[in-house]
Amino acid sequence: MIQVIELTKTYGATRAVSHLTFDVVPGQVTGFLGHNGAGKSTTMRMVLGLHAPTSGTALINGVRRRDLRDPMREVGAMLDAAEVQGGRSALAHLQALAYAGGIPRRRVVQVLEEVGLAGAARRRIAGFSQGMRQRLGIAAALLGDPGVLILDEPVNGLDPDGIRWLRTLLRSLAAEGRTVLLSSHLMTEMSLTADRLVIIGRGRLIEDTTTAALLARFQGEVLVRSPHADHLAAALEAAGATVRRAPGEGTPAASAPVPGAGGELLVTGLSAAATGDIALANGCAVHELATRRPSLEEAFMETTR
Amino acid sequence: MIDAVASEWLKLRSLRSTYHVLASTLSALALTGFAAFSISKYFDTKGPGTEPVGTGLALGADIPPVLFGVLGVLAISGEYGTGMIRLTLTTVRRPWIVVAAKAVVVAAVAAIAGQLLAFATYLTAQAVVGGRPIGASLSEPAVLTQIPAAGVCCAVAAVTGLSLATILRSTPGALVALVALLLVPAGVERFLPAPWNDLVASLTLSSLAEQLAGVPGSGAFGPSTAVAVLAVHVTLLLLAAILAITKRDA
Repeated sequence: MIQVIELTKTYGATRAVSHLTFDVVPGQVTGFLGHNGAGKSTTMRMVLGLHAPTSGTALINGVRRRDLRDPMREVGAMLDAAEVQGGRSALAHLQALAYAGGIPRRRVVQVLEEVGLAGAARRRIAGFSQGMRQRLGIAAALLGDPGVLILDEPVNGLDPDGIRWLRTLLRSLAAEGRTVLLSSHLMTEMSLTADRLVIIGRGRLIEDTTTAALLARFQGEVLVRSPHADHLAAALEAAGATVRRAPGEGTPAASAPVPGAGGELLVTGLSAAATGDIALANGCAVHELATRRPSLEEAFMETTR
Repeated sequence: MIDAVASEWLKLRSLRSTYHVLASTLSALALTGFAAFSISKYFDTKGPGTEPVGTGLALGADIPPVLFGVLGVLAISGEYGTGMIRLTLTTVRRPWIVVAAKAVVVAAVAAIAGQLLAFATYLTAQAVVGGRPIGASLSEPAVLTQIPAAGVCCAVAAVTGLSLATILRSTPGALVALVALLLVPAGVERFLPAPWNDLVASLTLSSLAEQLAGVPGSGAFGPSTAVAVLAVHVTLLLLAAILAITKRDA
């Protein structure tokens, strides 16, 4: 469980994070979304006690990071996979971290296998690809078998196989009842991995919702043009859809109807197929039927504007 | 704390730079050998009355503190340079533990390596001097205290380097500060009026090593004052380093 309460951080005149409040609950993967510079990393660093908040608090399992008794076993973090000393072998790197947390050597071997680096354990990190460094960073976060995981942009640099692997791993960790927070600036990727989404922009909270709810909001609309628009609208609403008049309303000149073209309706909550079926059942002619789906990235850009 | 020391010990010995720095301390042997050789040749031509080689430790005395200081610098500046310090800090309960553990490790390594180096320096000087009456025998009391004292000063130098790098968070910055702190007093001392010149000269680490060993005429302080000066020096720097790592955002 991570609680962020009224968290604020200013660097000189810049306010990086502003009165941010949200919870990250166990048993789910929570995506932390925002553009570069939105304040994701700063927030994560404050949660981990690396940066002191200007005001507000961040709690891990109900206490501040500095009050955790056994930090590595309670929270695992990957901040930036590039932030390692390349001269060491992967094994020495993880073993040094494990020593600091009093974690047994067999766990080091275990996490190396878990992230698929067992074969490269004795190689110097300097020769690792970005994807391998990413896996090493995830291995370090998993060392203490912690109940809370904080991963900053873990997908960066992973190949498609790696992304699928990470998604499965994070889902299974959440299914075990762990709290998983991962940041990203890739909405589409996040919608596939995260159960919940916390979206921030310029240090402020924009959305704190489930992925399903956000997807539903941006699932797109069905555009239907019919000479019997009024009749059709009533029938569609009766079927549970939300119907809006076409966007032309505000700008009549731009959408001056072609003679006989009928009215345009924007339907949400029904598929194009279902809309067409209802039109047929109600004897309404249809002159145009199309799905308008904004991409998730567009939706993200929209929400964070 | 023991866990953190184990971690830092592994970190130190898993980087090549550690071995490069330790190997470079052997340059003190070469310098000592060369200086002892020149003095011996001078003795051969001019006869008694020349400055004796003695233990030989004074000849290259400025080198070990600088190099063990570099060892201390690299023990943390690499982590600041790469950003790994953040990962390190997530593994411990409090930031000061990292500084303290690193201090224990570099001080221990520098103390042991510094003593071995001092002993090797002594043997090198005596080998070059050969049978001439300008060396120093192990049976002389100052010889056996000078070797451990040299080790202590190497440990102090290592902790100095570590502290400077923690405060400055940069390898070049810390190296410049280290060299300035260790070598500038020796250069400045010549231009100061008495008694300041003696005082400043007595405060250099290589001179404190001799005063700590009670070498006659080596400086303004006796062994106990030298211990106090070294203790204050280490305490102040470590406190500043701990304050820096605790109060600043990582």
